[in-house]
This record gives sequence, structure tokens and C-alpha cells, in this order.
Amino acid sequence: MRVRSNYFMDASNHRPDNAADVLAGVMKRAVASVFGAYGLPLQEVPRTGPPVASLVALAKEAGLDPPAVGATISFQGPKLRGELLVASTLEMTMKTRPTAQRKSVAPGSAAGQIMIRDWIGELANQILGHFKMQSTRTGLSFETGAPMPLSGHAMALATPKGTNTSMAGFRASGGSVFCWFDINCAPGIDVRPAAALSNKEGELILL
Amino acid sequence: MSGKVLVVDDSLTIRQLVTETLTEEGFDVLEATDGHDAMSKLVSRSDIALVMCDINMPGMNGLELVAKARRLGSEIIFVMLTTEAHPELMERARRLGVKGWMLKPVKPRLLGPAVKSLLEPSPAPPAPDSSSGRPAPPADLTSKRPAAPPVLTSKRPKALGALSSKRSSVAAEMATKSLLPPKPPSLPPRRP
Repeated sequence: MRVRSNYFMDASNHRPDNAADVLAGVMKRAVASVFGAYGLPLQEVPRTGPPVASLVALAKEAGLDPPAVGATISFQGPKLRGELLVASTLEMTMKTRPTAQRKSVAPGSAAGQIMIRDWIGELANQILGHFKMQSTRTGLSFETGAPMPLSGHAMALATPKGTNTSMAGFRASGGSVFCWFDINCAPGIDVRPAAALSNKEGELILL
Repeated sequence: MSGKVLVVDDSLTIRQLVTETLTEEGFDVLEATDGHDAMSKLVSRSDIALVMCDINMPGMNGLELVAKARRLGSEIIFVMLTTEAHPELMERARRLGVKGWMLKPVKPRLLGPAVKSLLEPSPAPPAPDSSSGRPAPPADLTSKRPAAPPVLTSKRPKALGALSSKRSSVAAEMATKSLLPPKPPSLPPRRP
């Protein structure tokens, strides 16, 4: 994971209740909403302790299965930049895959690996799409990069000290989902919590 | 169902989902992995009636594909299937003659009816003939006519405002005016 300098944030302008915290809430809701849309309701595992060093540590602390596949995707705009990682177990990722072919493909097979990596990238893309929609509603704009799938049995994403990162673990039926994100906002921007995500998903909007 | 549907998305899963769903609904479906692939299919085939297209794709993005197809004189119906919902992007699509916009996540039960409604639009009541005051004859829906410039319809404000409340629409509009560069930046490729 690339670590970027937080040029938007310094000690003089950072407040605990700043826009990044509001947007962090929007990001978590986006994760739950997209997985929910594919039939997998998520329940965030509340955290009260000090920050943990990695997603694997978070999984251990929360009693969740550690992630085995994920995708990272970056975003950048005039007043906002950051990175999102969405990670999950193989079985969970396959379970949300919305096509009939998932039934005949083993997650561990070569074809299964290709499908899972494609799908986790698409999930990350859709989650960031939700986040972007909500951010646009609060007056922010940014472009998103290409999702980069990651996979492995010991995927331990470190969280460097001093960066403005958040992570969350979600429990779901039969597995776990994690998100890690790094949101940096320009000082002084006014971001109010956005309303609930649009219910127009999947509907045809005539232009 | 006359005419094929071309699904353009760099995600294998999304292509499979849309293809499976529309095939079950009785459509003939072709797939393309990006804008270039789609363009070559559009040029080489004459049986494609509707293109369902992602926006953020490597090489040639969805709106670039629409623009190129229009420059070549294509009148094919385009529907964007995307995670993007910025009003400026939707306006750009409308100006290119894109007929519809669908936000991911895909809801399979809505896909078929949406495509059907665009390929087989219900006939509008005939407008009165201004000279005689009598209803105009039904339009010949089968004839090839030059593409009319996009018209601001009564549906447009609803469409553009569908994703946001009144207050947030104002915020989005302000954001468009104040934050975005005069020329929209080209969309980055989704896949390296």
C-alpha cells in the first residue's frame, strides 16, 4: 500500500470532528449498503480500544475470519483525496457474486480466483461510487482511480502512525468484511452528514 | 426481440450478470470489455440496437465511446450503467444523446423492463396538427431518421434531480461551478 503524505492536514487545522470523520461515516455506510444490495447484510463490529496495526489484528480482536482478498482504489479531487481498501474472505466475496456461474466455480480454482479478484475490484469501485455520490451532495468532487485487486493468505495491511486512516470490521452471515481508508480533506471545508444513500440504484433514469 | 444488446463493461462479473439477466428476458446479448472493443463491434455489425455501457473503463471510457459513435453517425440507443452520478456527467451524456442512466449496483429485476421500455417505447398520443387541429398521424417508428438534437424534456429536471434533494442539488450545482475545472478532466482508466 502506498503511503502518501497528508499534505491537506497538519496539526494546526486538524480537528477531531472534522470533515474526514464525517466522510468516514459515509464510507462505512457505503460499504454496508453495497454488500447489502448483493444480499449480504453487514453488521459493523464496534471498536472501543486503541487503533490496531493491521486488518489481521483487527480481525483477531473482533473474532472475525481474516481477509484473503481485497481491492484498493484511490480518489483525488481539489479538496479531497484518499484511498480505500475493501477486503473479505474468499467465500464471502464469492457469495455476493451475483451471477449463476458462481455456483459451479470453486473459489480456490484458477477460474474462481479470476472471478473473485474481478468482483472484489468491482465491489470496491461501487462502494467508492456510493461514497462519491454522497460527497458530491455535500459539495465535494473527485476522480477515482482503477481498483487494484490483492489476494493472499497473509494479507496484513499495516496502518502507519500519523496517517489519517480508519478501519472497520463487519460481521456477516458466513464471513467477514473489512474496510480501511485514508481520507484527507482540505482545511476549512464544511461537510455535513449526507442523507441516506439514494434509492435510485438499478432504476432507469431517463435523460 | 429485434436488435441485439451490447453490454460494455470491464468487469467480467457485471458483463455476466447483465448478459444472463437479459438473455433470460429474451434478448440477444453481445459483450465488449471496453470502449475500443465495443467500437469495433459497432462498426462491424449492423444488428445492435442498444448499448448498455459502463463509464470508467480503460482505454476508451463510456462517454468517449458514445461521442465517437455519434461522430460516425450512429443512432444506436445508449444507456450508461455506472457508479457515477455527478449531474455534470449526466448532462454531458444527455447532450451526446444518451437515453438512460442506471446506477450500480445492478438490480436484475429492473434490467429487462428498462431495456424493453427503451427498445419498444410505448406510443405517445399523437400531437394535434397545428394547421388542421386534427391529431397527427402516427410516426413511422421503423424508418431511419437523422438523429434529432437532444431536446430538453419535462423528464430531464426530474432525472438530474433524482439523486439529490433540493438543498443538495444546490450544493452540487455550486460544487460544479466552483470546484470543477472549466474543461472536464478526462476520466482515468479503471484498469491498469
